Amino acid sequence: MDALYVPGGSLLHRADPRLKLLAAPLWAAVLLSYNNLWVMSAIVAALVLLYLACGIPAGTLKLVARLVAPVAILIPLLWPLFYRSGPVLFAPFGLSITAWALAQGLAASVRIVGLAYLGAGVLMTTSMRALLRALVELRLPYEAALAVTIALSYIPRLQRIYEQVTEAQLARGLDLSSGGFRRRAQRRVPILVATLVTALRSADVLARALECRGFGRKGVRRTSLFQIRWQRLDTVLALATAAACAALLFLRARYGFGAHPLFLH
Amino acid sequence: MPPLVVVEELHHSFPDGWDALSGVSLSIERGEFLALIGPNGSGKTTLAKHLNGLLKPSHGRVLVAGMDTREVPVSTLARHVGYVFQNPDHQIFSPTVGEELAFGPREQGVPAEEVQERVARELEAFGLAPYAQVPPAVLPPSLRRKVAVASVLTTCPELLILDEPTVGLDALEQEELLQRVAAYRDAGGTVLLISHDLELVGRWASRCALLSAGRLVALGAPEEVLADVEGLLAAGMRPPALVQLSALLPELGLPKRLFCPEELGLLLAPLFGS
Repeated sequence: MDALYVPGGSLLHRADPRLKLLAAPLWAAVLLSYNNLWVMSAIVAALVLLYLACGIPAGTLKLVARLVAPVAILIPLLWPLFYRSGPVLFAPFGLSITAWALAQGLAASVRIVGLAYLGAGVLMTTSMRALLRALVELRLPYEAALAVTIALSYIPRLQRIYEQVTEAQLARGLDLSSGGFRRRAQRRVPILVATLVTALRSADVLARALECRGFGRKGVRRTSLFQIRWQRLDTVLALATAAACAALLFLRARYGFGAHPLFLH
Repeated sequence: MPPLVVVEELHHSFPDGWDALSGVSLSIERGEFLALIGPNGSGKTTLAKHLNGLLKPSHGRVLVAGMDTREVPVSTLARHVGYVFQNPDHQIFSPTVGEELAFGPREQGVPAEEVQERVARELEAFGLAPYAQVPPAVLPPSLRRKVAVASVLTTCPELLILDEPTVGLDALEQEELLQRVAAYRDAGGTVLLISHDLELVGRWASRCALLSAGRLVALGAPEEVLADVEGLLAAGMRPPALVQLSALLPELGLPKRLFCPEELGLLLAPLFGS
């Protein structure tokens, strides 16, 4: 089971998974180095358009956004409490909320969504076996690479278990909708415990199943039925990515472009 | 007395567009033991989840004890409908078996003394008394399943739904479980059993509903539904062995309601002078 993978034959699907694994942190570095709301929004908008063009359904993109939504919403709300420079927009309860703080908070929020989209972009366009191959080719030990891909594919499985357990507890009369925050949080305990027990049990079974299939045997050279190949297209994409990121990082470092949350210079 | 459950023209479509149920209508009388059979993906669990409000109808309606499931929260319906899920691990969470059995009635506000009585009764009935202080999570699968059923029976539901409760149980354990369920039914309870085991259904159920591709294709006494070899095969089910035997050898004149080898033995014994 692949976590977010959407099968397809688009540019991103065909690109070598190693390229995707290396390009994502590069773009993440760009997002982390910039503070400007407009630059970051442009990058995230470009990412979204790229994914849509590559056949990723809008529903999958929404799902990823929903996953980071709690953080992405909380940051712009909290930022104005700690960032005070710039012209004051309004001052409720004696707090001075400035336009720059708002922009900075929104920029941070866009950055979080962007980082999530970069990571998700790799997962949405790369099958687990291609990802596993890429990690091994990038010199990660096979055991570690497999652990990473299994962990990723377990996310939707855990979510499914959580939903099933919630149903089972609701059916037993657990009332999740009434009472205060504390009471409601306490009522989640049966769900969390049962989910954890089920997950641990299936992890145990999985470990045994892997062992039975010869996993972890020392001193063997593994071959792989599935191979990945670096194509000329990958070289072109790698050069383009490197050039774009280098230019953006250079502008930021040399000229301070995008340092301000609201203004471009 | 009105039926305990009334399902009227029930349709259910999942968000991905799959029509899991199309136009299912049936009612369940109080004191009935209804078996829901059909191949995987035919909509058995989807239908059962409508009876305690976990799923709401896309069209049509479901009435349980006179309540429309669309208008009543699951926690209210849970006072009337006990649901034992396929995987017992999804409902088990308490530190001890005793606590697990007490959880349901406590959530319903049953007085402590009565909770203790019910827990003691079910521990006894399921042979779980030696494990009362043991964490249920460390018990073997068959005992965990018993804990799951017992913890639902302590809520004294009017309708007990069992979703494939005999998976992983040996013949003796299956018999024990079904006897406890039958005792609950004899005490005035109503049972909905989902099972792939048609022999078991034939022996215990008082009525049988066959689902195929989200439609109710047969509803009647087990001796009618399970004896319809062609109907079962068309729905993707394999008829019980003795039913197939009587279809292959009609000259034997075997009765329609014949699901267990012991009964066949009793019928054939005089022929061989024993």
